Amino acid sequence: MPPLEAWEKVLITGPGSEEFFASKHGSFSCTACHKGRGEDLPKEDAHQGMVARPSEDPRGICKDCHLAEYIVHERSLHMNLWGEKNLLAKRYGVDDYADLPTEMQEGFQSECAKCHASCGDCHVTRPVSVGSGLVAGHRFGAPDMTENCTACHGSRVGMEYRGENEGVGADVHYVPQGMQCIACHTKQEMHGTVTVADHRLDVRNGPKCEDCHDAVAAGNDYHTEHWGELACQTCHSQDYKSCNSCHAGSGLAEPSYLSFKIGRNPVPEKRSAEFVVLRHAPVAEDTYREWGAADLPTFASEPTWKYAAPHNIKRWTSRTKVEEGESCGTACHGSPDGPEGVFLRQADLDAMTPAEAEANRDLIVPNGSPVNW
Amino acid sequence: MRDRRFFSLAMFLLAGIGLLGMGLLSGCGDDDSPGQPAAKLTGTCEGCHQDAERLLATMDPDSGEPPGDTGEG
Repeated sequence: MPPLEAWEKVLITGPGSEEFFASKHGSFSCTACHKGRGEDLPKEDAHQGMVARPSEDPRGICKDCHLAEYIVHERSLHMNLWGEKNLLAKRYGVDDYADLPTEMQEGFQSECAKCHASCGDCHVTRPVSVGSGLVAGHRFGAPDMTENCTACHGSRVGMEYRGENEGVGADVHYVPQGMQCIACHTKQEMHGTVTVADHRLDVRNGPKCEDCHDAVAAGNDYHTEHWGELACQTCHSQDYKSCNSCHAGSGLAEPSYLSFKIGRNPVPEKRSAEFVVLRHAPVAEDTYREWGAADLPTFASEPTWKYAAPHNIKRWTSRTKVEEGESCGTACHGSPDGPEGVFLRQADLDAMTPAEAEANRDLIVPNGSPVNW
Repeated sequence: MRDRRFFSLAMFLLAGIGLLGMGLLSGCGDDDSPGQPAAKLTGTCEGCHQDAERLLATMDPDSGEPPGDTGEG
């Protein structure tokens, strides 16, 4: 997505602008939301006291009309980043984010929290993390996949869904201009509920494959054998992106890479499958060194291989499509024990630091064929 | 007779030079002229934000860091 020029970001012409002026939002004076001075003045005078992004303050103007959405959004993951905060606290060895040292909280607020989403970041402009700018002539509406959702969730989900990783096809659900993110991720899920979700997998109203594919549980022998035991993605997703260590402030210390790893479910209290695909998260023992945490005292309390839902689903993958005469299980049941195999195993732990190996010890599967586990 | 014609011509030229000088000193009457310093341009919210040329004339260069790789998601 090419960046917008500064003047393009605030231009209210072209597609969407007529709809905006004809809408309820367009009937308000500019200063009703943006403050400043609306008279015929030089720019500097007209902009005195102006609020460029009125919804940045969650208690701002939006709630005057959208009170129900405000109440839930104020508690939501998109607004608060509860998941990241809780993981940071857990790895630092305190019960709550508020118990972290001030320097850690300031580092999080200045670097991580700049990616939180305000109302406007989803409904009228590009998110501030990609430079902001009006999406469609100031028209308010449902989030656009490219301009809003994958502007933030781009390097992994966006590239997977559109098939932009080298050698990996697009998701079977990807229909350009047809099936956008909101087809599965409804506003009920995105806005959240009054119940605070401590983790992204605790958010209510999220999509499940079975919502549409409820008739396939006994659709073939493989489904009958593995239904409920394996997450759908273990067979039907393609290689996906993982990351190595990150240094907060300077980003990834090493480039991301494509891989595919099946392991034990790290969140059985949130998802029921015994085996799931795992994605390596870009956290290391010294990630927060710049924030005063030379090492995370309880780094090993949380795995660095995380429950993943790659957005590159296909019916036929390197696990479901096999050569003539071979069993469908060949790719899994015959997968090598080394790091090149599809399972997270001891060989993968051996390549990690002792603390990281300890963090992921419960996720590995035994060597050899699954039929012998 | 010749003196009066010479006087009229001189007055006409002087008036012309004077008007030209006043014009140069006071500038163009159109506030939106591209020749104006940007700070002098005025307009209402809609007047500026629906006019790409006027926005361009008053916009400071975008000096911020270009958006990088979106790490999450």
